[in-house]
Amino acid sequence: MGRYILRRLIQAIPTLLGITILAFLIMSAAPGGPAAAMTFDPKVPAKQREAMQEKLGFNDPLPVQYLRWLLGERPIQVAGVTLWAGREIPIFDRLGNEIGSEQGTSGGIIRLDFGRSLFYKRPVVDMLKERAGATVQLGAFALAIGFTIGIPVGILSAVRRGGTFDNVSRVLAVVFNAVPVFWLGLMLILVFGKWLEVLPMGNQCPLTIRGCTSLQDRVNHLILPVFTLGTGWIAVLSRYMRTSTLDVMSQDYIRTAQAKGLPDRQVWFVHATRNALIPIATILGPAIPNLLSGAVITETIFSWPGLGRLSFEAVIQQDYPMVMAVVLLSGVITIVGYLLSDILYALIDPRIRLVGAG
Amino acid sequence: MTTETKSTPVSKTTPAANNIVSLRDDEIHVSESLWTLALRRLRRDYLTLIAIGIVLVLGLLSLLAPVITDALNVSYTRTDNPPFLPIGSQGHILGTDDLGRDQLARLLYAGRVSLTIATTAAIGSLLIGMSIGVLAGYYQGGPLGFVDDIIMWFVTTLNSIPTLFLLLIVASVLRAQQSALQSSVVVLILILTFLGWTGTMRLVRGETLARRELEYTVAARALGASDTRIMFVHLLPNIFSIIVVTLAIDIGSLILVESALSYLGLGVRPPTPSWGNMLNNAQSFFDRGPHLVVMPGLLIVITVLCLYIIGDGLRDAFDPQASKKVA
Repeated sequence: MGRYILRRLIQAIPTLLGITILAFLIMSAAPGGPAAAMTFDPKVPAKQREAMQEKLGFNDPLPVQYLRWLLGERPIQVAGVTLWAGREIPIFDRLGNEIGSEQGTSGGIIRLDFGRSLFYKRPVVDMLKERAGATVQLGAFALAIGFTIGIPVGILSAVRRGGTFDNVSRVLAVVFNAVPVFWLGLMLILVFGKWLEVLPMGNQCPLTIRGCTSLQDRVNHLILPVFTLGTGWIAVLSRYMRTSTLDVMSQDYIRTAQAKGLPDRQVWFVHATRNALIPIATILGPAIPNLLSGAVITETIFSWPGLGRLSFEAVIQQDYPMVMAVVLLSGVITIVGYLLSDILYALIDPRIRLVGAG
Repeated sequence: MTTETKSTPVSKTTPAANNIVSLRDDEIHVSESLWTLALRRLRRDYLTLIAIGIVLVLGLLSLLAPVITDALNVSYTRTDNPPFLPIGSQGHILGTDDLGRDQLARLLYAGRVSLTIATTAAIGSLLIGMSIGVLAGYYQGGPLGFVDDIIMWFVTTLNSIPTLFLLLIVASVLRAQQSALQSSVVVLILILTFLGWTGTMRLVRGETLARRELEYTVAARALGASDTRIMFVHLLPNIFSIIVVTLAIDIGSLILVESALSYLGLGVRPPTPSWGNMLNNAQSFFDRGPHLVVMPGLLIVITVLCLYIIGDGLRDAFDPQASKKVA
């Protein structure tokens, strides 16, 4: 098992590098990117600005710029050996004339230094930390709803195969797969927030000075966003669970269990379910990028103060350091998600490990 | 086949024997092509037929948008009507929007835009995914295997960034330098095409990997067929049924993606209507025009649902065994 995990970790390294390259390329293709942002000052003439950009290294070959972005401008030293020299950055006066230089302070992506947000003027890492909690909360509840409703529905429709419950749940699953997340959110707000006035229309807490005081308030604000994000998962998981249960039900050990006279309920919900749940482990990997995409829309509609809305706003405001950080973070989370899902699968089902090792 | 059987010695004996032979001729199993069989199964699948019908009607309505709007004397750009007219108003069957534009006309033109984007991008990404997939799968592990390694590395990287993040960022970067490409529709088609082929590519690569060792491929190679011929004459036609199924489902999901991007303001730019950007300001319509929130979404759901049903139906038609396993 240790070797399996190690091999999967090593396999993730090129992907991780790929994400940094992709993120860097997109950023350098953007007009008004970091070059313009760092030297923008209406008092400095355009020609002077170009000279500044040249001195700051924005005209260097892309691979050089990439390495600088990745490794930072501070030197990297391990046990007294300098692995990366870093560089001196020129300092300009207010008219754009070079007046000296200093050792660069940026730690680079590799040291988790994503720089400062152009819009909020604060370190990007701090902002990500602040917003992550809300997204984790939303995503975890959405997934939990998906599991607690989707799994039983899937098993039941397999048990009642061809019956009314099965047909209705299957139709609903297909329909909810076709509903755009943003429209579902809008309709939920319209019905429960506007017409019935039973649930709040957005935000994480009531907009008062007291903020989030009662648990009741928090729960009320959670319900609509969680269902907006989670409904798709109910649909997916119920379909998956139904197929997987039917697969298991045709196996010999189930016939044995039935033959020795075990009550149906025990055969279905103990014998069959345990094995039917195994393939569900593979869903957890793709679930994470999917939830992050869904979070962008859900958080925007419900003014939820999480990473999704932060990244959407960063894209709109062309806040490149923030956008880069969000791309890298979501990429890393996705890779970790797939990794965990594979490891979990291998843990539950030892056959996978053997196949993988061959 | 028939000529071969007629030339069997039996047919040249007595008239009675001739009869027998003609009987046998009837019984000779002329194997039907995959497509004939699929078509026959499809003809009995009413749900899929209805879905195909609905999509055709919606497509036709969007196609005829100018004719229909002329006949009803409405326009999708004219703002000289009172805003927020409800459904069933005189002269405006589905009411008017916040600027007083006729909603029916806008829905029809939006359908045109949304369907065009989704279909074009689906076909485009399918062509790219198919070609790269068959190449990568065919050369995997061989002397040209590094090509497959590089492609797979690229695809894994691309898939590691949540789709919507990638789309939003690329859309915003392209939007910022859009001077060369004036139309937001063209830009959107390009983005969806060039970021959407990875799924098809993986599918086709997997199928190619499985099929390149099968007897018919080996036979073709033994007969001296070139790699290109094996890939495009022997392998691709055999994967084609899978590709048709993917196309239907891809168009459906691309409609969802396009509408989400347009809703967020990074897709089709107003005043060009699309089902997604008609919902741009939906939250401000809650008081005066809830029908403006309901209608575009409903059309998206119906279209996507029908396309998914068509995809499922086609899969069943091509491969009844697969559906038996699932159903």
